[in-house]
Amino acid sequence: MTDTAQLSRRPSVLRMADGGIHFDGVKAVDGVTLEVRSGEVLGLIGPNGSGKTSTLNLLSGMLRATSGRIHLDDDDLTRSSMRQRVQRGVVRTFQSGRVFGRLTVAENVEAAALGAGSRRGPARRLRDEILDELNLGAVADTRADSLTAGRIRTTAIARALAAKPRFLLLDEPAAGQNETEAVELITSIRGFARRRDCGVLLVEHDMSVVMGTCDRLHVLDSGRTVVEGEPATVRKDPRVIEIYFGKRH
Amino acid sequence: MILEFLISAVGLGALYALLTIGVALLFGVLGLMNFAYGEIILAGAFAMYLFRDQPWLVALLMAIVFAVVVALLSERLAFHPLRNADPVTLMIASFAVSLAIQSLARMTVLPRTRGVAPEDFLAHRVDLLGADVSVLDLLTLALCGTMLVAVAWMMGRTSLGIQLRAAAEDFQMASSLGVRANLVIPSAFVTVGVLAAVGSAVLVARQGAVSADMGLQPMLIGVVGAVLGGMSSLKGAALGGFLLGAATALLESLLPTDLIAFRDAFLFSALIAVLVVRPQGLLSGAKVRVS
Repeated sequence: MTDTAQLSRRPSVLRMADGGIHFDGVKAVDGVTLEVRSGEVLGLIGPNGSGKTSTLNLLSGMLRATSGRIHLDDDDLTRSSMRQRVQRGVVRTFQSGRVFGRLTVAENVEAAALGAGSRRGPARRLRDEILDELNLGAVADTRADSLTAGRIRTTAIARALAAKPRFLLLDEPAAGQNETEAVELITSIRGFARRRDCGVLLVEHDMSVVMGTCDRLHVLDSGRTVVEGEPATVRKDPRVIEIYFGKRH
Repeated sequence: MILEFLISAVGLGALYALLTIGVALLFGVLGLMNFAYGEIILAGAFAMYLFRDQPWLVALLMAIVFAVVVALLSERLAFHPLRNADPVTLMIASFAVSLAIQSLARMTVLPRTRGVAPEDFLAHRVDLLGADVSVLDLLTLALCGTMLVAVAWMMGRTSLGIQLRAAAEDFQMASSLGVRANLVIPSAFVTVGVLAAVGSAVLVARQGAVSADMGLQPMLIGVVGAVLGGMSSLKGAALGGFLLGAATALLESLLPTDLIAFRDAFLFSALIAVLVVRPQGLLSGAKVRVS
């Protein structure tokens, strides 16, 4: 009945406990506790300035937490650099993509696979597999700086996948796309994350995009947790309704 | 006559392109405007002088060893500790390295200019399709051309090249993706050392002499060629260097004898004209790094 492969491997957890950071006295993130489990997609939502990207920066090591701790299973990552976290499998993308513009799409992905320690042959196999999965085959030999904004973001995701993430932190991967495209992209991300048993933290501000694609939602406002739970429950939460739609008169 | 001219013009173009990508490579990867490049060439040239009685190929190999060692030492001792410094600091540090090596050479092994007798085989002239061509011109063309192709292949096709270009574009991003800075940066310096050594072997054969300040001119050619072509792309830099060399050869054969002394004045006037129209260089993209 039970899948022995599933049983033998305990799911991993990336966890931030009571994490916070302040800039010049302003608390951008204030005592947030959240965890991402392998194989699931956790949506991190909230209005602009609510601390979503800062939370992602704390988890990825772009920023160091001024309070709280970050663990990957039993490993304390609180003081680890971004690079050390990538080596542990915590990989992020940037809103702007930050792809290597003068490299082709294929080279962008290959560079990350090589960086993750693959030798040339396996790196190229992984590259082709990922390009195929994200429908980037047609632009594989196109320079990244001549792509559309949407393709640039997809390339950035492909590159992050080549780094063999156990946890993938995505900063608004679907920004600038319409709702259908956004849902399509996130659904495909969800698919490969499941297959690779990879956990995904998805920063997104559009409620309708995350509803059908995330397993759980974590809502932030002014740097604090408002509520966490299943999408259907969260949507009905009066505090969330107030944040998103304003107070009902 | 035409073929003769073409071979010497293309040869000089290839040599200048070689000098130029040596400058552009470090600028691209590290944001390092390396004025000590001339002294890496000096190290190679000194080896050519030191091993002048050995077979030419042995001297060339030793030039590569000397130049690579100096390139790596300058990285270790001067540029490594400044890895996160801004480009201006790096540039000034490279001035210091340049002057230090040059002074050291002048105080110790090269207090004055030393002659290096030209190799017999280089002085020969051969008949090629009816044209009378010097072996030195042919060798310049073959050697520099081979090096350019080799560097293009390394940068374009190999795992190291992909990582080098990724690091050149966004060092922090590449490094956070696990691209090893400690592999990529020294290998860029090794490449520069090899390029400089081949350049120095050709320069020594053409000039027949070695002196402590001989690196200045090729370094300037490299910088000017790189600026002309566009600092942010290796292809552009190589093109800039090539055009500079070919234009030099062209001016030399076209200018009346009493104007040849002013060759560089014509050359650099043309360069200024090009930069007025395209300040970012011929092949550079939108991203321009001024400092």
